[in-house]
Amino acid sequence: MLQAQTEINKDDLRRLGQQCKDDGWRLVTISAVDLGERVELIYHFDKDLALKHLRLTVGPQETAPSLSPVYLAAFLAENEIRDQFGLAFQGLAIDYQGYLFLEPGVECEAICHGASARLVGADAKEDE
Amino acid sequence: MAGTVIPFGPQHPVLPEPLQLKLVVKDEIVEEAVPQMGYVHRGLEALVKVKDFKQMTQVVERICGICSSIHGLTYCLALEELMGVQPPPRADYLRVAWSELHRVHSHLLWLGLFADALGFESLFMQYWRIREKVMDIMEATAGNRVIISVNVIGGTRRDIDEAQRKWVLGLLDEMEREVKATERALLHDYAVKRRTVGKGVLTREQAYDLGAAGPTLRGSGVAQDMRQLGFCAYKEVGFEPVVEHDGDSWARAKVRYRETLQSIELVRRALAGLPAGETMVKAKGKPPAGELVVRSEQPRGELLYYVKTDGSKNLERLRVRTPTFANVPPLVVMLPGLELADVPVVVLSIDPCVSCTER
Amino acid sequence: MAGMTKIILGNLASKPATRPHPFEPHQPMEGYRGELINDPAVCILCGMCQRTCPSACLQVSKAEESWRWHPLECVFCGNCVEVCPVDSLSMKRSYLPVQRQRLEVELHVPKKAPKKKTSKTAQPEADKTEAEA
Repeated sequence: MLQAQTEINKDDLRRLGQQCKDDGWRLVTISAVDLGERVELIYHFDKDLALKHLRLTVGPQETAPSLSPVYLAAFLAENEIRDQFGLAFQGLAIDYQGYLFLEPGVECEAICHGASARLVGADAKEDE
Repeated sequence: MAGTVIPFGPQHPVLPEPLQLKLVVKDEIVEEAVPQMGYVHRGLEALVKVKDFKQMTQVVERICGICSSIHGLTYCLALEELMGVQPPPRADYLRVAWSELHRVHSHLLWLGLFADALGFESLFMQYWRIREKVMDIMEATAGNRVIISVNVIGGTRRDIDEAQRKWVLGLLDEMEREVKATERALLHDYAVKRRTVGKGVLTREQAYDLGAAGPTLRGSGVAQDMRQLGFCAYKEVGFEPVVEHDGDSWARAKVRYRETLQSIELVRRALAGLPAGETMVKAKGKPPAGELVVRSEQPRGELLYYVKTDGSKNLERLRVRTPTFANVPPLVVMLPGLELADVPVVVLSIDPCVSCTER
Repeated sequence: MAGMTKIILGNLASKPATRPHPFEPHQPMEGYRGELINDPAVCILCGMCQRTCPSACLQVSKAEESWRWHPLECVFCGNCVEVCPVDSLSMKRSYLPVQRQRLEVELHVPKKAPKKKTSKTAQPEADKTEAEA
């Protein structure tokens, strides 16, 4: 349990993100945790040295909405999550299609189980 | 889109880090810049499944060579808070001393590279000559020059005795004199100013909205520095962030120059106020299940660690957000509108550290 | 350029900052974490160093009475030296020189007779650590 955290839904993300931006909160980063079938996204915000977090859980075979229309800085973190966890985002400002770190055609073992199956368009390899 | 695409990096004589920027250029003016990373990705976050939480201290220190001690420090702070271990006060002051020494050597390294990117080789060599003194201090007090490995969960492994303390203070005086002597050559030189003033401007709103960190943020007028949080002994030692308001490359260079002098002063204060006592408390057992976010300040900016434990000796998740990761989006916004020849200096002015970014 | 000229003249007048290596090699300072050495007469093959090593460069085998160290995988962190219960590991003050062949250190460590404790429940150290391993 993190201090100052709120659980949210996918549909509320952009609205709450815009609210945070209007209140003067700065997006620090987006962390992703592998919970087996689901992936949990934690958005960390900062204002005047105080932190607050928004938690969003994305189920299997789902995509998440991107925060980059609100905070442009989110595009890099979301592309990295796509590479490492296989979770696709809709509406990314600059979309690398899962190839931020790798070249097309390169096989890799993703950071979490089941991510290889989620990677769209890449050759999936079975995780050990 | 009409325009030539020039790939800048990952190997380039003037680029110190393996970051690729695809620059869309029209008539020497950059229109768009798309970053491409992945040349030094080692998958260190995935190693939490294999190494236990004590071995991860060594792994985490090797994310970056320049700021390695502060990675180790943040990791140890996170685990100490999870395990409920309070390091002794002497360890706090020693940690401040070693962290600030790291900041000095990192900024001196950057000042040298900045001069080198402008072609000013003699100044580059002069800064690295001063930096050698810091490496000697690290070797004598901590056992190694670059990856000093002094932070453990519970305190620090090594101590600085009285004779070493006096020697270190003497070297700090020499270094401060030599750094001050370079001010005119670095900041008030006509050629340097022509190439850096007004280039790569980041306004205050842009810097804040794009999530910039460190001197990139402070050079645009936002007074935010994670050392204000007061971890370790920063509250006792006393600290104010260094701020400039122009937002261009020259302002960022000035912020780092002033921070070097400030850090030398902080090391002096930390060593002067060293309390007596032990340097380490033994941390027994495994961390309980839980999660935590810890932040600290690296030379390049704000560092965030998200640690999730599940009660076993392996961590469940370790997420490291390094400052250069936060500074790349502002870079993408800074570059359009510049001439092609100005790009290397502006890229260097955010102080990229790609081994941190890609882990 | 006035600022730099003064510095250059000062550098010309003082002695060079570089050392004429290899004629005058650098002597590492006291406490430097250099080459790892193990004393076979003291080592009890408990395996604590192997468990602590973050880079898995140590192999300890009680059955084969051997202690192996792979210097090319070692990161010279010094964790093994700190956890050794009998202080048989130490780090030299010099770093490993360049080798012509891939160096692997293997020591034959004879099994020690269990130390007799003066207390009634004399559980020997060797048996206890064997149970832990």
